[in-house]
Amino acid sequence: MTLQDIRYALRQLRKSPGFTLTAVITLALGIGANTAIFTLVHGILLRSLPVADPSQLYRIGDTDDCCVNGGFVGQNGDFDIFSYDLYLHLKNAAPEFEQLAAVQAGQNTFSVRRGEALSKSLRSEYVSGNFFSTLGIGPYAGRVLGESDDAPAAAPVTVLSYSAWQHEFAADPAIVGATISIQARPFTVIGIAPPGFFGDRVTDRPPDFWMPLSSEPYVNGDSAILHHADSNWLYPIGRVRPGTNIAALQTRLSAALRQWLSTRPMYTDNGGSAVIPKQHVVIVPGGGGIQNLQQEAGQGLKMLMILSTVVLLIACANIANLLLARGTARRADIAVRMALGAGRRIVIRQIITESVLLSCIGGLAGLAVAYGGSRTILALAFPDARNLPVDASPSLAVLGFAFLASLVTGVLFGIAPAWMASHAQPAEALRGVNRSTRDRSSLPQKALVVFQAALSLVLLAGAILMTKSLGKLEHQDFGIATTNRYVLHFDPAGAGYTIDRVPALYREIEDRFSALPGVSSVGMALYSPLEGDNWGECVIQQGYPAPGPDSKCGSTWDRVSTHFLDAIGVPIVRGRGFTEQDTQTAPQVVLVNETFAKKFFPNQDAVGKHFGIDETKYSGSFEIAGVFSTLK
Amino acid sequence: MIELKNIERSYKTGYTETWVLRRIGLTIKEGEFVTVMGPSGAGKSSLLNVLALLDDGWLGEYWLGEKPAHKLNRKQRADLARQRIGMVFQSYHLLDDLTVAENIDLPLSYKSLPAKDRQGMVADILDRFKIVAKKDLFPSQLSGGQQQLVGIARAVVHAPALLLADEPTGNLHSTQAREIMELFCELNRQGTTIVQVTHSLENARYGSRIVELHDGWLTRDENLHAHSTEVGAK
Repeated sequence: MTLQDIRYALRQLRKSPGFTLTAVITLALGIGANTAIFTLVHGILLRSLPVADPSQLYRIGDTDDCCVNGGFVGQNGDFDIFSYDLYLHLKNAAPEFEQLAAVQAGQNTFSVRRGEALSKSLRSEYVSGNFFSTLGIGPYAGRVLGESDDAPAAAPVTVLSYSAWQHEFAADPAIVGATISIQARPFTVIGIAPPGFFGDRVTDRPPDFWMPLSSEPYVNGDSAILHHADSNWLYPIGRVRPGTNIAALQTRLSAALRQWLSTRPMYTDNGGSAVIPKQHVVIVPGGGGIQNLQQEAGQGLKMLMILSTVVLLIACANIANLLLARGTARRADIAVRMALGAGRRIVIRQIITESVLLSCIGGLAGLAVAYGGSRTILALAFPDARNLPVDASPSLAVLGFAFLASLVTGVLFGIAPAWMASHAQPAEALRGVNRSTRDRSSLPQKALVVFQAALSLVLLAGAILMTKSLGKLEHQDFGIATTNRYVLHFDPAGAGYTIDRVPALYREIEDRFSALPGVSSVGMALYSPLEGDNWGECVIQQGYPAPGPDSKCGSTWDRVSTHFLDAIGVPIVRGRGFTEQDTQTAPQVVLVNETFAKKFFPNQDAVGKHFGIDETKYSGSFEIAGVFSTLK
Repeated sequence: MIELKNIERSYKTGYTETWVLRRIGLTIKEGEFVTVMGPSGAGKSSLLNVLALLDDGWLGEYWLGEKPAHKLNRKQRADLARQRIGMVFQSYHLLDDLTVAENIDLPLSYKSLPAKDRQGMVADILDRFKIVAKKDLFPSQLSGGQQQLVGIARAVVHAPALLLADEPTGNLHSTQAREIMELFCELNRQGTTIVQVTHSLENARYGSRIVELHDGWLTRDENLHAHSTEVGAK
């Protein structure tokens, strides 16, 4: 490609402003859509944590189980979430890790207050004392957590993220060394993490502060899980020594896992020993951090990438067709050039130069489309995001991608016209081009139209199916009434309420809300419906043997107030609902849905039946008082 | 310079085959100025295409100097044409988006010459054709005669041994036509072999020889400086 080719191509484009504008807009949309998706792919799927030498980091576990689990994990024995004791066991068994940190699988939202200021809901994460040193992260101010901070007798301390320091504490340098209240408990802020560091994973709400694992019992009191050896809630991530054989390490850690499981009755009882041999861990590169978001969004992003590529291909076919149509007018030029000595290579080079130049201009315009597009997608995909560590601004990699996409696009849509031009008969120049009766471009043009139509049809069908699916999702029957229902979240613990004061608080909330004009019903629940969160347990029916490790005994549960089902419009279909007489001192009654009744008590009346959790001896703990219509 | 033996060319249209050149035998010596004449459809332009090595579909033998063009592939023919042949067209065929200087530079740019040498050659030809003042103009800013002058300058800038011209004055008025023909004579005097196609007998008289085609057959070969020869046809 020479300067002369570029100059000539520019003149050609300037000569046909209508064509140029149409092509540039089409390309800007096509390349822009691809670049927008790539911005997200790069920002979410391909990015490394902003830590020292991320390639040395490895995670034990490869899936996204969350947030507190008990018993065997998954169906195939792939362990990915661990208790504190099990983490320590694996850490001792793997000296290949220079350092092995543990991070909380699911993060919390805690009430944080400084002095007498109003409390803020901030995101927290429990991490082991070696978390920052494992990642190679030093402090921006003060100091980061150390091993000594993660000890039972250590003073409660926390490290703020740079973003939280900026936005929640007005960048006050005096915060370092100050005491703040977290869930109504005093913690000393010992330091601020450096700017740009967002923790161990890409998430829409990165932690605002980190606390040592040892402070978990201090915050959670009786419900603490740090020393529950069978409560799995941690992800281990560590830095391996150079030259470590990861496959061998994985084998040894899997053996260590099995050895540990075989010492725990939780895993050995009720036939559990039989499935221990298939339990294992998978060690995966951890440079990108914990991949939960990547695993959730990965498929969607890949699908979007495919769709935007199809859109770009359609744009290519469209412009190739336009170029072919223009080719009739340019045939004289090409024929004269060939008559004056231009070889095929030169002719092809000239046409490709023109198309690549066009696509590069389209690519430049596409960067603006990409910026707007990726911002919009991020806003739609993460509407509640705070401090999302994914930037819509084009990075060097994104610029590189856009340039490469422009180059490939230019070559793609330039090939057909270039091929046609290179097969022009220069003799036509002598005969006079107007005497040419053949229309050599018609066949490729038809092929391109067919190609375009086929791809458009695929996209259209996909779009219609997607719209139908979205419509169905939007209008599906959740089994509850959602009209005029509003959800409020309370955090009594964050406000310093102890467990003994909570029942009175709930009663008062219920009474005062019920007394408001326009409020017809008030219900309270540990988790509201459609929130996407609740607890699960293995159900043991009274009179039945204990379920084995492979049995499908799981059921989710929620703790609710007396009028909760009324408030969400769910009818009782058998038995009764909760009453004011169902107090802490009355027999423990539960309401189950129809699906539960059919699953655990098939062909029976579930009302009056008993079941329990954990162990067979507790199988009579709960009595089913009623059955309600199944809700989602 | 040129030797054609039994050159034949036909075009297939559906099931019918139309012959445009039939058993052409022609020898053109170096330094000759030959005019090809004949009625429309006689095969003049087809013959010129063969001579220019722009057409691949002919049969027979074509020797250009010592080179057997009939044995060369398309690329080799293009290389040979690039080195030895210059073309002048009736409709000038200047590229609208290139300036006069860039148009003249075009055949040089296909010869892998250093840019400096090319600039020198273009400057020389602009000077020689007295169109230096027009070098930055675009073809649309020139008259027909000026455009053809540029077309000829472009054809001879790389000093071809053979200059082929297809109706070079067809679109010009008589004064301009005379100037162009005198320029051809001048080029011919300087050693360029010229083959032109024309309908004009007046223009033909500038040359040294007239060959005439009828229905693809070479029917007459007249040396204007000697007695004419009737070529035996059919």
